[in-house]
Amino acid sequence: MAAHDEKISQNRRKLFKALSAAPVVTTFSSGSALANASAHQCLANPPVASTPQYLEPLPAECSDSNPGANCMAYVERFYWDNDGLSGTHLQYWNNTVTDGRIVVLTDETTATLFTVNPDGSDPDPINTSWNYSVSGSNLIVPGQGGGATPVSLPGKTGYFLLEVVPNADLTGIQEAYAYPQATQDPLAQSCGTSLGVTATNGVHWVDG
Amino acid sequence: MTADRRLWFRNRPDCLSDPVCEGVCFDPATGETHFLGDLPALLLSVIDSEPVSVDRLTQRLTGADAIADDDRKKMIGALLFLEAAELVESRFE
Repeated sequence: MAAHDEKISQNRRKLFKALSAAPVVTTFSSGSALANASAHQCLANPPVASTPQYLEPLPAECSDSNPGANCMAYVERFYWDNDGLSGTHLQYWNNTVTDGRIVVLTDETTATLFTVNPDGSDPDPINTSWNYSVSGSNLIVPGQGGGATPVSLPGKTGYFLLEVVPNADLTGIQEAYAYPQATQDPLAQSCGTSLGVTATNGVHWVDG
Repeated sequence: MTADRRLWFRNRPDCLSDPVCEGVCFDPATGETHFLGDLPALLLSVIDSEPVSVDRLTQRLTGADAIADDDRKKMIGALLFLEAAELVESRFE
């Protein structure tokens, strides 16, 4: 306890001394750090674009020649922070399959903003039976039938696309995948491609 | 909204301090190296993942709940510097 008190006294002296000086924060970035920072910024503030997003993998029963209900993708772009999740509805359902990928055109000019609260409530639900919930830092996406096998997506600060594949009768979620926001940087082509992608329980996410 | 009503936190790995050069830290989240003045360095040392008010930060530093208004403004100014450098984050209560 005495050590704690001494630490407090020391901090108090430091604080009063520090308060007399100007608060200065100077930042230096190395070349490689600039590259990393660029990737970070790209995830944190992706440019608005109306460019195709390609989502993989496809559900097993889905192919170029067999697009159907199970090939549909419901896509949202989320931003996760400590206040919970916020996001943008991009294009909702899409069953365009090209070269083994679901193609989703993002059109943010017509998209609407929404927020998922930390308690899991969604002020702007698309389907109330599909409400997301939050457990710790994870986003829980209800499983098939609206809750049988929830999919847990790691929450990280930054934008990501959430692809939800419904079950056949569209009453629940069969699979869910999260992707780093892919942007169309003219030089790097995509922020996501500069970062590793891991797969855990069918969920893709930015490595690190 | 004023900065007074903000809660401050750092939801990233710690900024790695140089054991020799006081006030120098490397942020593994961005790869940047920051040179901090005394006050920002002191504040950063007591900010963790729990969002807390300026009063709570003061309490962590000094053991006291209150601080003079002028000093409080300086602390908020330093916090805004830290936020601009992406070393801390804030949200409103």
